[in-house]
Amino acid sequence: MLESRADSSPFWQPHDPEDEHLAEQVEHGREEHLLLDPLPPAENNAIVLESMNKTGKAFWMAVLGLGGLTLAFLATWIVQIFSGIGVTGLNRSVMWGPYIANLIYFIGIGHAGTFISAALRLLRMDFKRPIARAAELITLFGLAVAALFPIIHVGRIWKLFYMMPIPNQRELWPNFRSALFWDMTAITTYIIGSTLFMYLALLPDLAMARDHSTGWRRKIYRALALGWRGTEGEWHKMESTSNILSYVIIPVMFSVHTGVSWNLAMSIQPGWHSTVFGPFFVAGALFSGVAAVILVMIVIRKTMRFGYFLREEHFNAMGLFLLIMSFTWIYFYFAEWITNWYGNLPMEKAIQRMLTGDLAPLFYLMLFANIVVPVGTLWSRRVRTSLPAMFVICVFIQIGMYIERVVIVSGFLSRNELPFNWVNYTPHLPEVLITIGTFGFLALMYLLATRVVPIIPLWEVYEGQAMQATRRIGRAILPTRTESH
Amino acid sequence: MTKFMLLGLFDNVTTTATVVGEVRDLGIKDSEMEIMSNIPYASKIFGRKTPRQWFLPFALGGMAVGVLIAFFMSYITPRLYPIEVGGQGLTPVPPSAIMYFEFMALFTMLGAFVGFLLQNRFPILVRQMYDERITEGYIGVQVLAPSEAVMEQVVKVFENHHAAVVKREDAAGFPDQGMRHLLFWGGLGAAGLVAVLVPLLLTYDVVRLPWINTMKDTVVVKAQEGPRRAAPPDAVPIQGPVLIAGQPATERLPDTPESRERGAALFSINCAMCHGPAGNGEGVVGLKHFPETPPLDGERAAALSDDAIFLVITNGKNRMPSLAENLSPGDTWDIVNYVRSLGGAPAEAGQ
Amino acid sequence: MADNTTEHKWTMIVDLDKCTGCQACVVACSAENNIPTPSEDEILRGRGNQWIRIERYWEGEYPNVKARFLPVFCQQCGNAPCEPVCPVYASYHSEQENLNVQVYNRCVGTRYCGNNCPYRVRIFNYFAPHFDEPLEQQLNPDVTVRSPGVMEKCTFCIQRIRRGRETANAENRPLEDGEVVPACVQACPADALVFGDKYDENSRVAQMVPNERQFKLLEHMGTEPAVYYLKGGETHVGE
Repeated sequence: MLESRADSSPFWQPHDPEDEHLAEQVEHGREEHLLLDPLPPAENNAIVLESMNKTGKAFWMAVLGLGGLTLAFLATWIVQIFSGIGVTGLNRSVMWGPYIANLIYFIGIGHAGTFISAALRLLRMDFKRPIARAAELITLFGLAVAALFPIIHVGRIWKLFYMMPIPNQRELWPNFRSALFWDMTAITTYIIGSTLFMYLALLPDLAMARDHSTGWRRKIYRALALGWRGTEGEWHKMESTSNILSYVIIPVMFSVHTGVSWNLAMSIQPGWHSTVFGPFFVAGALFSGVAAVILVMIVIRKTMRFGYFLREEHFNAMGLFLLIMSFTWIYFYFAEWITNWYGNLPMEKAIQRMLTGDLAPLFYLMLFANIVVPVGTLWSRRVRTSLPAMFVICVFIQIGMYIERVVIVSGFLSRNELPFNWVNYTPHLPEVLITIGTFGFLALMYLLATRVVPIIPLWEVYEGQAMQATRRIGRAILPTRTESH
Repeated sequence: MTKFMLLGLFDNVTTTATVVGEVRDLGIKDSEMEIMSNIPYASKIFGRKTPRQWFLPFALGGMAVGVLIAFFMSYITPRLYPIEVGGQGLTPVPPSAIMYFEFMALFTMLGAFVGFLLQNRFPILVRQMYDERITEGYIGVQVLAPSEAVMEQVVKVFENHHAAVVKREDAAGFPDQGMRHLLFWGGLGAAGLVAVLVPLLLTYDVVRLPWINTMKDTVVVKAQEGPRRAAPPDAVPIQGPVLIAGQPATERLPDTPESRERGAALFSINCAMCHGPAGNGEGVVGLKHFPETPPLDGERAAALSDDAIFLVITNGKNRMPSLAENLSPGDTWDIVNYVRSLGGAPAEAGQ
Repeated sequence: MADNTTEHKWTMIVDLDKCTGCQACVVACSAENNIPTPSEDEILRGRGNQWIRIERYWEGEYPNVKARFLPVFCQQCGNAPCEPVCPVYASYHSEQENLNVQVYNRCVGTRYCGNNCPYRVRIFNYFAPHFDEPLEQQLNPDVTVRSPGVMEKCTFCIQRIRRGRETANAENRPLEDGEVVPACVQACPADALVFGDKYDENSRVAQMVPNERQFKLLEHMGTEPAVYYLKGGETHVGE
């Protein structure tokens, strides 16, 4: 017996079997699976649109708090520009500090978005349907904040245009042999590609918002929806464009974090000069990125009442993904560690001694957060589907990955070839304020975006629900999936 | 004959597919029908052909643009101003590969997206047949009926299948995009052109913005700057002219030996290259001038008043440039006093 | 007119046997190259900004302890790791001077070169330079005072090299050995520093380079430094 919902009645009308036992199973399936539990689109549209319109007291308090952090970041930045980079704790050996670590970290958390929506799209994973938009938004804002950091980092911000490939009276072009320039092109490509990719999938939802909102929102959505009506041609071309963008953006995604890691790996600083850095950083980026997506999922589910869309099955799947990324990260970290340890070269030994010596608290906290916490807990389905547990685990992973980046950038730099130049680096107030402030800035942008952008890709959910079917085998009703093409 | 635009909304796929078949039987071509939905249904579900599309040229065109830009960055720009770095060649292969990859990827994506917009005629700037219930899950069938009779038949088909809504309007109310669309893209192109040209004006200094240049305002005393401040009293004594503190006076300085000494120092910095170290007009640069540089120890100089010499130094004369930027009035008077001591007439003023 | 531009390979020899660690070169360098005096606080933050630093290594256990002095400054690498990483060509190899040069005006301050220098001899201007009165009166007009946010490093006193070359060109004669000396060499009381043109076979450096005591700093990195060190024997302190 094959029942497809897109058959002879609207896909959201339930087919209840008459057999009581089967009906119970169908009911159970509805609770478990979003795609087996369709509501009329009008109701779902309303859930999403209302959550966007709702700006309660808590929302404004959050905006105020995050805005305060953003202002602190901007004020510190201005002070730093006018007094010089000297206000930071950087010194002659440690010339790159948390700013570069933040660049790596924020690009990292932006990584999972495109991976989830592009790679899982090509692999046709159904669990990504309600998550994709939230993840893509993290990509966009993570990249935007990350792109700020090279600007914050440079000594003469007023001469930054020297790095752009524009014709000029100095007759000088940027040096394409510099890893910084590779990184710049990769980030630009990724930002533009991710924006196009997100916008493309947003069009049908913008059209939905246009049709069911009023006032200024309607005007904005009308302009942004470009006149989308959902004709066969439009859908078909969107499909093809999405395919092209997906296939191109996946290698670009790898290239971005590889490019960032090559900023370090191309130099001859001991500990940095390693071929493993590219894949190692990509794995780390996906690890922290998936954790960031789960964090955002938990928060929007709680605050925007998306319990219908974001269910246990999604947290379960993302938790498994996180576990796999944890294993991958452990593998790369171990590969890097044992290579340096076994090689017994004095410089790399010095760095490992520093990690287990001066920096031992950070180092062991990182190992705890990145290895013990996820591997020790995520194997259990109960943990994966428990929101408070997942929240704590993901926060731990964020802390662990952040420490990893800071230690790699400013920790490794403090040990170099001539021992006379070994120094220790301690961050000063400006770095701390700017780092915390940019976290606030990212959260603020995200918060504001959740009130403007339909955060659940509704059409993808509807598509999944319409194409979902159940199949009866013996006495059980099991979900199956179909494809319309 | 007036044409009619019809829209019927149906709540499920099977009915829609039946309606599409019956409308086709009325002699309406597939191209005059349009199906709208909030889900990407494959065309075969409605028994229709998959719409045609052309993405290859856009993607390949974008890729070609990317290749050109990468070639420019990795091959042309290093040769516009060749600079050796770290023993690498001008166009090493591995970094070039990165350029080709990134730019090809970027422009392939942009090309595909532009292809998407152009093929769908986005953004649509004219009125379209539409109903807001389509985003609530209804499937819309839009039919262009060539005549009123056909329209009635189509409406009948719609009603037979319990269409939730049937809209009928004069097809003239839905014009082609045509000119408007062209204007939109033209405007976009013009805006893009301006966005490219304005930075060029700035980077080529055609339009000058007052921009921060910390390197220009150095605290170093320049070689041609005036006498320096006197050393502090407890400093080690130095040989040569003892210089006075503070800004020299603007009125005429008395012709004292100190003034002449200062003048001699300034003369060797500012004047000697043309007028010669001895003031006889045989400086290294002066000898190349035509007409020749006038000597300062002859009659011509003697015939000038002090004020006239001051003005010549300040404003310049013939080939001689103004030195007002390099010399303060006090410096200039020191030079006048020194020039007077070279052999012209004794200073008439300053008594 | 003899064009003396590309035919020089400026080379420095540091005789560690003669170096007493007196820091005269450091002072001379600061005076010649307009290096601001860092405050005590800056030094404690690890931001000593001298272009030369005398690295002091202790050997042995107290009381049998020896101090070793190693003057380190820009090694003017032939294959400099700092050059290709600069996105704006501020650090590059000047073929004309046969030196590794830093163009302050191009620098945007990414500090990539500083990370990539194994000798850590590149200095970043963390603040606007400040000279206490009356030190600003003795600033060398031939050398730019660097603005905040740019990298700088030892130049081998390129201003002196150019002046010497121009004088020689004007007088239509080749540059003589010993005619050009950087400030540190001029100031070294122990004659531990020798500077000259290695391509000139009769120069003092060319004679001194084939020495069994000779080594280059971090030679295994393949940076081809233009600074040669002569191993020290017994430099005793505290005996």
